[in-house]
Amino acid sequence: MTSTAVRAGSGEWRPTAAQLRAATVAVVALGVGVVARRADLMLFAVPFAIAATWGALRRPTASSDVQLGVEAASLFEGQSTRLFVAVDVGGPDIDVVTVVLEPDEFTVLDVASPVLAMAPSGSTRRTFDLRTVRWGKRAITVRQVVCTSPLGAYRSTKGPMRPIRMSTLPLRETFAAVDAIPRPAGIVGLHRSRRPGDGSEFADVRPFQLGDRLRRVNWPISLRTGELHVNSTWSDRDTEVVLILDTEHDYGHSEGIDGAASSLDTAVRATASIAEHYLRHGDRVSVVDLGQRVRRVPAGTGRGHLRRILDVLVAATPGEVRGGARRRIRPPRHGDLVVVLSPVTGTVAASQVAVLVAQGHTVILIDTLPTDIVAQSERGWATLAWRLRLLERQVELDQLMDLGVPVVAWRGSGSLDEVLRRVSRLSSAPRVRGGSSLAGASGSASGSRGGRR
Amino acid sequence: MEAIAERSGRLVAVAARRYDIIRAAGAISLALRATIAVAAAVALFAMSRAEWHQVDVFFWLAMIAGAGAVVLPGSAAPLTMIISILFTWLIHADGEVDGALVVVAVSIGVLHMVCALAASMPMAAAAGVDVLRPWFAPLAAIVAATVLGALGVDALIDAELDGAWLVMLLPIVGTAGLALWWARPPDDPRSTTRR
Repeated sequence: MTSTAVRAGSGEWRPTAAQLRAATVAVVALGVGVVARRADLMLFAVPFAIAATWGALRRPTASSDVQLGVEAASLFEGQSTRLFVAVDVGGPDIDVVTVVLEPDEFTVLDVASPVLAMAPSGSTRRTFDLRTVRWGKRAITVRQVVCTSPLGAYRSTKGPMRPIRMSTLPLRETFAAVDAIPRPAGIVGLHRSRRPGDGSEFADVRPFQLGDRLRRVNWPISLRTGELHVNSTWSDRDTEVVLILDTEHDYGHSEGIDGAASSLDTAVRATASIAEHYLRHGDRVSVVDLGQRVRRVPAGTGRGHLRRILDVLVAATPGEVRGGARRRIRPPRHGDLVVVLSPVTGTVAASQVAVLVAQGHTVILIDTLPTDIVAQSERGWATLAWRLRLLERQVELDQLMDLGVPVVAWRGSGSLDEVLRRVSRLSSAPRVRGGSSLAGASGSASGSRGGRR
Repeated sequence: MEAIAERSGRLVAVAARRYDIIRAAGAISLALRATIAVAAAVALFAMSRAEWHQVDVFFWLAMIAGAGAVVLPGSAAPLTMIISILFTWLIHADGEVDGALVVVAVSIGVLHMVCALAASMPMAAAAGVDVLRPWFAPLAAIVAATVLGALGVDALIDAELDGAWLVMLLPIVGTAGLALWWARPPDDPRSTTRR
């Protein structure tokens, strides 16, 4: 549980417009009534004199403590947690406590209004459902706490309080791809792998988990225990999947998990899904950000490593590439599968992909640009500019495809199947001198992204 | 023609925005504003039914300020309305303590109280009925004190005592004192207020 607190109403009680109004009307009505010898005017002063004196007598000295907290500070996109607001009033002279919550743009509260008015007697606690609908760092805070004394005579305002920060992890959809890796490296030596994964070396019998293959089920033990068990094996592979994320630009509107996705949304969600898929199968995964906004995650395996990757992806924000186009990422090992996720509109992505291909790596480019980017842009010259830029971009994509880089659009599970099959088959085929065998893969895969715009 | 279309379009947009504000408003906030409107209407209606009544600038000012009090209860609009009513009464009324006076005094007292409560929370506040509970006792005390004060003043006027304008203060001060004694904080053992 994460919580933050603020003490409101400690001193600084100021008279309100209501108190000034009551005092003014009482004085004016009584004064004019006495001077003009008008009993009817003096009678008008009665309610106001009572209200002003009542309010003054009940001027508060106590304070109220407001605490805001959430049950879970780390969620996946679309998940909910409980948010609580606890108000503890120190004395009887506070009639109304108004708490103004300020949720993040992508944080949805299950309450009609983020402004809560309470009449707390002692301690009051209210609980709401809070749902985060977009990956990233989310924050919720109390913008203002307003305590009001009896008859609205005095008011004390406090805020904003320190925000509660939450991480929304970008893993929502389950990604699956064929079990084809262009150049899988086997375990070398006599010692078995330290990592569980797909392989032939028996490791353990464990309860069935979502994603386990049926052929792995150990039927005798499952029958004996009454619960599905599977044989787990040590990984036979030693392939590293390098995910290169392009955070230079973010195109399109981001409407959260239930709405439209921007290019960075697609890139981050795809990175998380691909990483989860390969880590589940025992491969090593590393994440590199071209813009260096996201900390580099070195290669690793296991669920702990997935959490490390997700935690780092949460910090992805668009921004200028540090080091510019001259910057070079550390070259992956020979045989590693390199997946670049980019809208290919910036200054760096295309050139980096070309360099990687020239170094002999197998590179797959996932195009994250939203298809309706022109429709989303403003009218007039901006649309024309976008069309020109998209034509230039298409030329760059064509040049990359000529180099043998397959370009695919991200469509969730199965997006990479066709490309991986072809790349694996072609990489294992005998090479012909003077030509690139990967060119065939790019030609067939590029069809999935459509033709020129 | 184009200007008219543009202007009407803008008006529609403003109306739609206002409608959004009303939709976002809490039920308690809307109820409080409705009460303010009713109190202001009752005060103005009761005043307009009096024989001496004339529609003058103060009456119009009170009407406009009353509408302002509904929208902005924490502003100077309620004070403007009440002062306008006072001046109308001072200029035109014959000085008798009658039913109209009591109705107007109670109405503007209620208007003041409800404006104070409505101003303590934003219009969009999600509030429960428990917010209203602490206000019932003061409101009842103020209404009762106003009615009792009017009866006392009327009785003194009928008695035709010498130096009556000073004597008239007695029932007013007396009822106010009773109300304040009742409003003593609950930690005071002599208090009768239950929270």
